[in-house]
Amino acid sequence: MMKFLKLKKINLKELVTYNLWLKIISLGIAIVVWIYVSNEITKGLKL
Amino acid sequence: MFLRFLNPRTILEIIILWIVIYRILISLKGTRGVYIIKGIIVLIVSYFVFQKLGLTVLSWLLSNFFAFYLIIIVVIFQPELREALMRLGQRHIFYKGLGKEEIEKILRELVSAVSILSRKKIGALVAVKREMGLKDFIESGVLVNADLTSELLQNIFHPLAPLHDGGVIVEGSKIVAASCLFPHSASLNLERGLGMRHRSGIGLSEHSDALVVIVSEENGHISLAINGQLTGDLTSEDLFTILKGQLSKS
Repeated sequence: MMKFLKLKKINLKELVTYNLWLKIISLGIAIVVWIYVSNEITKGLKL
Repeated sequence: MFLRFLNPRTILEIIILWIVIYRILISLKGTRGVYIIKGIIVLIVSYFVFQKLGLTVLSWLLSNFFAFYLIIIVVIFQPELREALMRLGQRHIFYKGLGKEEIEKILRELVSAVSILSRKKIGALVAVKREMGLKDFIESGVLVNADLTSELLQNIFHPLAPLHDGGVIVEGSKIVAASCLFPHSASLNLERGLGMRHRSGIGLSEHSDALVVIVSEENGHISLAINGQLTGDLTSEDLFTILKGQLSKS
């Protein structure tokens, strides 16, 4: 039986590294959105 | 300011936001939506840069036309938004997988068709969608939107059938589209003997997280491409086991 390439098993390391950039970018966006919205809410409360 | 991050509620809010944003980005990856998102990011960054530089006219233009941009986005993303709202009404909002029984039923049909096509040495290319959107590839083919059955798959790939060229995309228990164009793999590590069907299968698995089943018309060998890696010469039992394992994980 000929195998072109072997399949790799998905483990915890892969769970973290899979789409790592997308995960980092989305975390960054989430933090920025939270900070922006929370500042706007604080401003509104001050007014 | 940063002490607020230590609040468990804030952390929970950020984690929920993170998951939602990640899911949106994942579903947009590999579709035309990603370019629109990039455009929006450029506009938002430009707005803040204009504000910092004191370019009041440009920042006024950007902020006042923002409502207009929103309308454009709603028009462009209308099908995606409709799909997202429909998903909201479904039972599992964060659950993207299928039930164990449903997976087995789908795989029985798929593997049965693939093994018959393999015996008859009829070429086939079937992509099974997982998390990532395949809208661009679906749009390149002919919409089918029919229940996945072994007979229908065999019919599609019959050499005299008009839809036999290209790939079939399976989403859940449905054959969404047939005769779809998949991107060819640009990898230099592939065997020279691999044909265009195999290269397309590997190409799609590089561009998305789809599982791509390929049947060679030369020798009837069954192969499976996952994340740009090809496993060749599989038996139908091997195929069933690997697909079941992969789909149960997603």
